[in-house]
Amino acid sequence: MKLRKVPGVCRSISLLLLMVVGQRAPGAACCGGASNIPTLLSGDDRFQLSATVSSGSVVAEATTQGKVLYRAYSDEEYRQSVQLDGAVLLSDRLQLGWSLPVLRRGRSRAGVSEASAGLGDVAANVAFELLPQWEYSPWKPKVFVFASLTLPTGGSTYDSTTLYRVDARGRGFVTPAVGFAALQTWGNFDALLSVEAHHSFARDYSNAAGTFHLNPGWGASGSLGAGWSPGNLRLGLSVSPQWEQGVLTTGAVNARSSSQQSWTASAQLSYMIETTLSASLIYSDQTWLGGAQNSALNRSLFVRIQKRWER
Amino acid sequence: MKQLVSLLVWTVLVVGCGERVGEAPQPGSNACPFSFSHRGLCADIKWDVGPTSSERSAFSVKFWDAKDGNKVPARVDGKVTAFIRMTCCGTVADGVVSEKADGEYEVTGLRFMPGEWDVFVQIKHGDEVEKSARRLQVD
Repeated sequence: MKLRKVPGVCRSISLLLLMVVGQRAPGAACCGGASNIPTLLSGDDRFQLSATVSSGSVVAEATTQGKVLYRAYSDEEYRQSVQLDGAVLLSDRLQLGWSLPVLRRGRSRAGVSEASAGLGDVAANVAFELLPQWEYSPWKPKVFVFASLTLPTGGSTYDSTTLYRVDARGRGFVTPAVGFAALQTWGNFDALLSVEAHHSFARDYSNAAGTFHLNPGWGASGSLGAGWSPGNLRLGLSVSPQWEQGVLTTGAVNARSSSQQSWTASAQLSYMIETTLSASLIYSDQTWLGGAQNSALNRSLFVRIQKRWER
Repeated sequence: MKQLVSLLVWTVLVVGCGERVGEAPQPGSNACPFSFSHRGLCADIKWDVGPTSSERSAFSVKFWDAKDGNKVPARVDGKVTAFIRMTCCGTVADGVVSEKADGEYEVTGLRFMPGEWDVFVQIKHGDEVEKSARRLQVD
């Protein structure tokens, strides 16, 4: 097994930088969903576990024309989650990862309150270290390619029975995805670029009116981030666009829904408690950058603890 | 690296091609808001609750012969169903339909969210399905 020759300062930054890999963006209120950037083992570790607790609220909605409509204070919708992510090394460059989210959604509007909690869409992935950094290079990043599969264990608006669809905790489709993540450090600075593309499988939905064949289209998401690490701290900023083609419905009705688009801006503060233990505080906002269409816009706070086991 | 750049460019191109296609309901008129031309029927709905997103909405639907200017309820040969579809997201929900009298039905339990919706009324007879829709905005 080859050992990576990375300067100590860059290795520390890398350990903090990997905290940003795998940050999942909240999806639209009506349709659930999340980005499919998985958690990756990006350092010299063989096993890693992350626990993320988040709390957020839907503050606005972007129309299909891109107009942002802020909600009234009397219309409260919150989303809380506990997510357990893991990754294990299968061989020197191949790894397996998984994500288990538990979500709680609630909405209070016009004197009616509803809440629901349960499993979200679970996901598994395999990743391969395409471009390892056997020796530090200022221009050649560490690059991973990955493939993931998300299962519709969280239900969706199609399966929902509540008035405000708060029991829809996912997109409702089996979704395979492929993508890559590239990480690079320069002294105390670092950068991350990750992109994934996916195409969900079609499914049928039936009710008393008939059978609806739901054909989801393509989707893609990504993240571009940069950070600065003075000592054991890391301050990071990232931008994460997400796009989802509309669902083509045939059968009982023939129509395609509008595509969805959002831009999530995030600010992150991480602290490396010890070499294999890190904590992060992340704030994300989907109203800062604009550019959203047909999407509910969230502001969320995440707290993440990550434990790693070295090779 | 060249492959990675190609993948990035491809992704940007895909992201830039967002499609916005909404469904256009079948045309109706004030005289025949919901038209079932194959059966020679017209229908109209009257909201009993809503349409609103703050509670489950309900409407009554009445069918009459398209040639009948007096709009006397006419018996429907087939099963009447109704559903709603949100134009932005494709969310679909059906209502519980009960027959009150010949040509008159009640649809309950419709769950709207704020936004633009199409209300579908359809008649099923064997494998034949004829439907008609009207668009509305729900706050």
